[in-house]
Formats: sequence, C-alpha cells, structure tokens
Amino acid sequence: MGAAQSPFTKRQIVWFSWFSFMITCSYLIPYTVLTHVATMYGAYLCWVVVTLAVILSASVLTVPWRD
Amino acid sequence: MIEPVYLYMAVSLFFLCMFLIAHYGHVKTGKGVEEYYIAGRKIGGLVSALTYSATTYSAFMMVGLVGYTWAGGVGALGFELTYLMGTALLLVIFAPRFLLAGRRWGYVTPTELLSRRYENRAVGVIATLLCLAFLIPYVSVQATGSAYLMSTLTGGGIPYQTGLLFTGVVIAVLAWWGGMRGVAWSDAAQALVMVVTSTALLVFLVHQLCGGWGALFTTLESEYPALLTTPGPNAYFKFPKFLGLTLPWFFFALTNPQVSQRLFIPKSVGAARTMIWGFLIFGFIYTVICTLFGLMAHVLYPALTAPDTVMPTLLAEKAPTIAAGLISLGILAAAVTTANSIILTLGSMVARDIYKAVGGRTAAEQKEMLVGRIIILVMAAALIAFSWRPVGLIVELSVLSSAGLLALAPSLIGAFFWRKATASGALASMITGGLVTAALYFGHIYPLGQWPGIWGFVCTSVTFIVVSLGTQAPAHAGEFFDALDDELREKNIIRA
Repeated sequence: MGAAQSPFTKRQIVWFSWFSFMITCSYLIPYTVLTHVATMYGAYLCWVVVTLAVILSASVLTVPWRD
Repeated sequence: MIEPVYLYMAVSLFFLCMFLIAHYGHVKTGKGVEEYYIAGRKIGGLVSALTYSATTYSAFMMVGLVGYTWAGGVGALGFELTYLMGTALLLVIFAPRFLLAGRRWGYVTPTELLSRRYENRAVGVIATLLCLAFLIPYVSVQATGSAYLMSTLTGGGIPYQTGLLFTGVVIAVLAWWGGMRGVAWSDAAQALVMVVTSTALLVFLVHQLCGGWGALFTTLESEYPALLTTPGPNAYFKFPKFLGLTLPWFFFALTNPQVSQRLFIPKSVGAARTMIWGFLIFGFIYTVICTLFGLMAHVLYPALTAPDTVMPTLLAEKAPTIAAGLISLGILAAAVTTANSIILTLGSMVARDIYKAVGGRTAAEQKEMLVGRIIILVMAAALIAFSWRPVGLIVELSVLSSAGLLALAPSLIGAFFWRKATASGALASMITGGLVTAALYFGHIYPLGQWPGIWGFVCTSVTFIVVSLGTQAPAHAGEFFDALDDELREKNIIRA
C-alpha cells in the first residue's frame, strides 16, 4: 500500500509549490525584467518583498503546530 | 584607528563575559552525552532562535558579504536572501522531523541519524569525514576574518597571527567548557550584540557621512547605478555565478551539521516554531543591514581593491573609536559563535559516529565525551594552522565548504522522504559528490560555465537515486516512516 501512495498530502504539495514559485521568482525576476532598473525599487526591493512573503508563508504554515 | 591596548582590553572583557555565561551553562549541564552535546533537548524557543542565528551568521556577513555587496552590488543581497528563503522552506519541512525523530530514537548528531536510519555505520563515518574535510576551511575563515579585523583596526598594532591565536583560544575554550548549553546561551547574548551594534552603527554612519537614507539612495542611483542592477558592476554577479553561489547555500540548513544539530535542541514543537520565526526575522534584518553597509561603503570608498578589507577600513577610518570597538566586538562575536558551534558539533560527530560506532561501542559516555573534547582542541589547533597564512576570498572559501557539503543533501532528504533509499546509495552519493566538487573546485574547472557545486549536486543526486534503485532498502525503513508520520500527525504538522 505504502509504495503506491504519494508520501505527500495535497496541502503539502500546494505549500511546497507556493514556496518553489516564490523562490523561482527570486532567481528569474531580478535577472530578467529588472536587469536594467537601476533604482532601489528594482532588484533590491524585489528580493526584499519576495523574502518577506516567504517568511510570512513559513509563519502561517507553522501556526497549527502543537505540543 | 584603535590603540591595540584598548582593543585587547575591550575584547578580553567581552569574552570574559561570554566565558562567564558559558561557565553558567557548564554548571547547569547535567551528566551524559545528550546533556553536553544537545543540552538535554531542553532549550527554549528564543535561545534556540538566537543560537541558530548566531551559528548561521558568521564573520562572513560583516566582512565577506559587505565586501561582496561593495564589489557586486545588490546581487549580494539576492544571494543571501535566496539562502534565507531556502532555509525557511527547509526548516518548515525538516525542523519538526529532526526534532521528533531525535526524541524518539535518541539521535545526538545528524550523522548518527543517517547511520541509524540507513542501518549502516559506514554512512555515519563517511558523512563525518566529509564534514571534517569541508568544514575546516569554513571554520578557518572565521578566525581569519577576526584576525584581519583586529590587525586593520589597530593599524597592524595587533599582528594578524596574534589575533588568530587569540580567536582560536577563545573559540576552543567556549566550546570545550560550555558544551551546547553554554554555547547556546553565550551565542544568544552575542547574537543580540551582533544585530544591535551593526544596526546602531549603520544608522549613525548613514546620517553622519551620507546625509541620510534619501541622500544615500539618490547618490547610488545617480552615480553608481550598476550597483543596483543585475549582474552588477563589471558583470560581477553573472547568472551562473549567482546560481553557483546560491545553490550550495540553499541547502545550508540541512547539510551543515552545526546548524542541523541545533534542530535537536528545542524543548518542544512550539519552541521549534519560535526558533524558526526568530531565525527568519533575525536573518532578514541582519542581511539587509550588511548589504546596506556594502552599498554605503562603495559610495565612501569606490576605489578599494580587496573586498574583504572594506568593512575593516570603514571602521578604522570613518567610525568613531568607541563605535568601531563595539562593532568589531559584534563581528568577533559572529565569528566565534559560528566557529565554536562547528567544533563542538564536529567533536560530537567524531566521538559518536566514528569512535563509538566503530571502535568503542561499549565505551562509557564519559570516555565518549573525552574523545569529543580532545577533538575540539585538535580542531582549534587545525583552524589556527590552516589560517596561519591567509588564503583566498572569505566568501569563496565559505562557498567551497557549502558546495562540498551538498553531497550530504540527497542522503538527508532521502532519509525522511524515500523509503527505497539505501545505505549503498547514501555512501556512493556522498563519496562521488564530495570528490567531484573538490576536484572541480581545486582544478578550477567549470564545465558549461557552471560552478563546481552545481555539478557536485547533480552527480551526488543521480548517484544516490541510481544506486538506491539497484540495492536493497534497510530492513526497518518502513517502521521509521510509520512511527515518524504518527508523531507528525499527533503534533498537527502533517494532516491525515
């Protein structure tokens, strides 16, 4: 039974996909659309915002944990 | 410039305070291996967060990352924040698994987890040897950074080698005497020093020397626009380099034993959650501070030649003496907290996963701890010897370490998520990954323009999968997964 089943729940897959999407954005956006935006509102702000979104997501994901 | 005698006094007083904290930890530490190496799994969430932060963020940040930002611009921020994002993901997935598996089966080191999960002692031995080989450069750059700093701040009044010896002794004493509890508590105090001193100095210098934040950003945008773009000035952060730097660091939380061992220490799942939140907030703030230092330094010193000297030069020439002294304490604290954690962890791994597992399975815990303590002293001597003549750029030596340790990633991920993963697969992947990365790095070989860590990771992953598919899974793998899943469900970490 164990071999045929996915080891991940649907919720885990959704969260993992979300994190992967954000992290992929942190590679792609600064090296594509923001390459020539020479202001603090360009790649700098992009990385800051994406990181804050990931931190917030991690916090939300861990709230239900209980002792 | 700071008079050597004043710096000696400040640093000695600071580390005396840290030693007293470590001594208190020593007094509070009970008997036994679990108490000495992982503080009896009883550390609260806030201290866990601070020791995790202080262990992760080393002298590399205020010396290496500042220099990297000065040279390459915002790509350095991206490199470090990508690491933080990867760590957020890894901690959410692996922190509760390490914690619960450690409690259930009594694991003390991450390499012990590997050898017992794969039911093969050689896995733990090879993993420990890999960590020893690749962490010596990393732990050495901590001492190198500290010695550079003391020498530059005093205009050579404290020679590099003297600073190195001083740092090496402090690192060894804190780890040897305090054990995990002493190290964790002194780490927590030093983490606060790191973030408070750096924030205060940054705000002070930006207002004193740059005319405030608005003026700094305007100057950057008008006079140094390349710093704010990718790939940065002189294409410093071309995408292959960015990828080659970030990938090894992405898995840092999993593959570096000094941080993954800390996943065993929180006293509860709630404490582990606080650890994750606290670390992510600390990491974000500290990273932004360090990169802002680098950008400001470029405005003030556009023509320096060596990136690693940017921060020491800034402190020696622009900061008031007291502020320079305080911030250098913060940098020294960052170096010491990382290095003492590494040598404590390596001591525990050699004692448990080599000495006890191979040669002294019936050895008393006291003897195992004695071996670990001897290893701590040997490692301290090794880091001094390795750093006696400074080599390489601090960042790149650090990345070599993380790239080499990537060879552990498939085995660790497979341990928790792949029932068919085998000991042979783990052994083959660690050996192949470690050798490929080292050969490419020392041979300066970049196939298809990609960095050694990338190829090492590909080789280690493919080897792990192929060999595991062709060999027999451990007899009790199913029991490991079923028991751990039950615990994860009970704690509401995964849902049925």
